[in-house]
Amino acid sequence: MNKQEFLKLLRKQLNVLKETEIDDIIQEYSLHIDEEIASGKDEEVAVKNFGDIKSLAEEILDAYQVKTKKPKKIIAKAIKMFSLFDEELLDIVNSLPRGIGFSHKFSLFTLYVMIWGIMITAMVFLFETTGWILGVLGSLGTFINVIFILFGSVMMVYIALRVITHVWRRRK
Amino acid sequence: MNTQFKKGVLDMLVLLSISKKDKYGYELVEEIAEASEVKEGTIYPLLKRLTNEKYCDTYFKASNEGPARKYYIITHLGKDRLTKIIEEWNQFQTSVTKYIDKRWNNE
Repeated sequence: MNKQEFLKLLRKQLNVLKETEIDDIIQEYSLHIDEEIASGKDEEVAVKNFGDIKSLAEEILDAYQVKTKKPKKIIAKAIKMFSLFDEELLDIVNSLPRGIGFSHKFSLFTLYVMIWGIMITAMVFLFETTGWILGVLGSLGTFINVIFILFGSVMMVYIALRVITHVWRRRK
Repeated sequence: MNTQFKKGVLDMLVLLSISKKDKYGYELVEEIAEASEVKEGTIYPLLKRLTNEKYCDTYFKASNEGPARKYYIITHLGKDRLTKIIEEWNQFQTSVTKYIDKRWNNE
């Protein structure tokens, strides 16, 4: 591979960065290869010294703290949002005055599950409606629908685990 | 080696290398690659990051032997950072050496 080919490939791998930043980086590598050639090295060898372009590009993106996998970020954000909501809810529920009739622990547990139940129902309803509207679009709608149903199920399992580990432990 | 740790050490080497005299990219990279046994290609991102973080600055200068060269110059912020990293490094090194001495000689 010669210099031009190398730089072209590298540029392609870095396309998530700003144009000016890419130009800056490409210029550095171009200069480096020029220096190697000026000192008597073969162009192909100079390029080869950089190793695998993909891992080089990853290293560069890492220096810019660019996460290459964007969907992961969205999922992480969603999880964070939900756990924040969960923490808030737990705090509110725990700060309520003592329950009447049943034991305190039991009333807290009921309230917690009820609020989450309403939340999940509302979400699933929202998703289902969206899914139904999208259903007009055919298989894409079905796909999105399945994703939403999966999401609802995961939330159910999650909340069950939360109830078991959190509420029961916190309120002995 | 732990990459986060390695990054800190490489930052130190780069800033140290340009602390007394400006150096052009290729010269700097060759020097750091030799000192740290890290591949040349992976040092440029580091220079870029240090520049973006305002620890160093760059300028171009023509050269007699070949292409124009991009020089790296340390900033005040970079000097402060360097002092701090070296301090941390010395502290770390001292305590690790102490620990090795203790374990190696007494057990």
